[in-house]
Amino acid sequence: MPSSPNMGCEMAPSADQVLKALSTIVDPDLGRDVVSLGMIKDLHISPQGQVAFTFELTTPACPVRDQFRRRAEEALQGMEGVTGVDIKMTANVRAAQGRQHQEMLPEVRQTVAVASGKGGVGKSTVAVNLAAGLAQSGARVGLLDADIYGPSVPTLTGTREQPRVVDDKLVPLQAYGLKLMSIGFLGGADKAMIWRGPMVSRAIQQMMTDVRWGELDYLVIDLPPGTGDASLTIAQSVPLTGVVIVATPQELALEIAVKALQMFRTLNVTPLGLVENMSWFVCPGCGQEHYVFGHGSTERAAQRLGVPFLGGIPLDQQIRSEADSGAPIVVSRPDSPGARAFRDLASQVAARTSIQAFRRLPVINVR
Amino acid sequence: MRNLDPFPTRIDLVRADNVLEVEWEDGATTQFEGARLRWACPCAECRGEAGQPGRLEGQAELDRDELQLSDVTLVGQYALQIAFASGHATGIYTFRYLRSLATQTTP
Ligand SMILES: Nc1ncnc2c1ncn2[C@@H]1O[C@H](COP(=O)(O)OP(=O)(O)OP(=O)(O)O)[C@@H](O)[C@H]1O
Ligand SMILES: [Mg+2]
Repeated sequence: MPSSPNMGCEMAPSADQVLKALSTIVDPDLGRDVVSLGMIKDLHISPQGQVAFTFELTTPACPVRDQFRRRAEEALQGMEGVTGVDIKMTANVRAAQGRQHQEMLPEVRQTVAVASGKGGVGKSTVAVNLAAGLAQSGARVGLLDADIYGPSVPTLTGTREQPRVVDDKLVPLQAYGLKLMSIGFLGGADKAMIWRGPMVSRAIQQMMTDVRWGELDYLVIDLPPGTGDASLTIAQSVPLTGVVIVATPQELALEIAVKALQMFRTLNVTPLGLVENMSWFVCPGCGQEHYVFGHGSTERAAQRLGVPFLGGIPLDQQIRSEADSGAPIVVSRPDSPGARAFRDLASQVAARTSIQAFRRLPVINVR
Repeated sequence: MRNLDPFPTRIDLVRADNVLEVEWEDGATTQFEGARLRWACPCAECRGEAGQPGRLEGQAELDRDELQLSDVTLVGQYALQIAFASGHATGIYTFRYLRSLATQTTP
C-alpha cells in the first residue's frame, strides 16, 4: 500500500491532465464533452494541488447542473496530486444562431414564443410560469404579452401600473423577477379595441423596439391563439429561437395545435416542441393522478411530427387559483405538482434553446 | 429528450446523379436516391390525411421528373424541404425522419 506522508512532495496535476479528466463528462443534450464545448473556464491549479475552475453552463436552468458538478468532483478527487476541488457553477446563455436581431432586440439572447392552435388551452399560464421558472433558475427573463386581443399578463402577474417612459422608451414593469410588457399596461387597453392587421404589427413591433428590455437571456412571448397577424409579425420581424406549442389532450384540440405547428414551420420558425397542458388531473382529495383524456396523445403527435415532447402539466385547481390571484404557481407554491411540472418544462425549453445556439447550420450545395 | 436529434453538417445535392448526400454530426454519411426520397415524401398530399388515401398509395410507378431531385432548402433548424423536377416540393423532411430513412433498408 503506497504511503502518503510525503504529501507536500506529490506533484500537482497539469492543466492538461485536469482537462483530460473533465473531458469524460459529456453534455447529454449537446452530445459533446464539456471541455471541447468550452464550459470549463478560469482553471487554476495551485502548487499544492488545489484545483479551482468555473463550470459555465449554457443555461442556468440546465437540467443536469448538479450531475455535472458531482461528475466533475468525482473525476478530479480520484486524481493523483489533487488535494482539493473548488467548482464555481455559472451560466452564460448563448445568443441564438444567425440572429440579425441586432436591430430589433440587440440585448436579447434567446426569444421563445409560446403559441397554441385553439384559445383557452392555457398558453398564457404556461408562458408566465415558463418565464418565472427560467428566472428562478437565475436567468434574466422578459415576458412580452403579444396577445393584444386578450392580454392576460397583467392579471396573471397582478401588475397594473402604467409603465414609465424614459428617453422615449417604455420601462418594463417588474414582478417575480421578470421584466413585463403588455398592451394591457398601456392606456385605453380596457376599451374594446378593433385591431386591424397593420395596427397589430405596429403595436407588436413597438412592444419590442420601444421598450427598454435591457440585457435578457430569454424573452418569452405569449402569442394570441392561432396563427394570425400577431404571430406573423413576430415570426417575420424577430428571428425566434423557436416556438413552444401548447396543446391539450382532447383529440380536436390536438389536431388544431398540430396545424399551428405546421404553420410555424412554413414561416421558418423552429418548433422547440409540444407541451401538453391539463394533461392529467390531480385529485384534490386523494392526490391521485388521473388521465381523463387518455394518456400520451400529445407525445405521440410530437413523435409523429419529429419534434420534441417537452412534457405535461397537470390540470390542477391550484394552477388556476394562483393565476387568478396574480401569482405564477412556480413562485407561490413551488412544491406543488403543477410547479414541479412547470420547472421541468423550463429546463426542457432551456435545453432545447441551448442546442439551437450551439449548432452551426449545415452547408448546402446544389450542383 | 436525452438522446440528441440527428443533425446534418453538410448537404450535397448532385442533380446529375440524382442523389442527395447528407453528412451527419456524428460523422456518418448517407446517400439518398431521388426515387427513395420521392416515395418517402411525408407531405399530406402524398401520405393522405384524415382517412383520405394519399397520392402515393396504390401507385406503382411515377414519372421520371417526379423522381428527379431539383432543389433542397433548409427549414428552420430541423428539416429540409426537397423539391423535385415535377415541381412537387411540399415535403418537409425532418432531420429525424431522414435519419430514420437512412437506417431502414431500401424497399
Ligand atoms: N394546468 C391547468 N390547470 C388548471 N387550470 C388551468 C391550467 N392551465 C390553465 N388553466 C386555466 O384555464 C384558463 C385559460 O388559461 P389561459 O388564459 O392561460 O389560456 P390561453 O390559452 O392563454 O387563453 P387565451 O386563448 O384566452 O389567450 C385560465 O382560467 C387558467 O387559470
Ligand atoms: Mg392567453
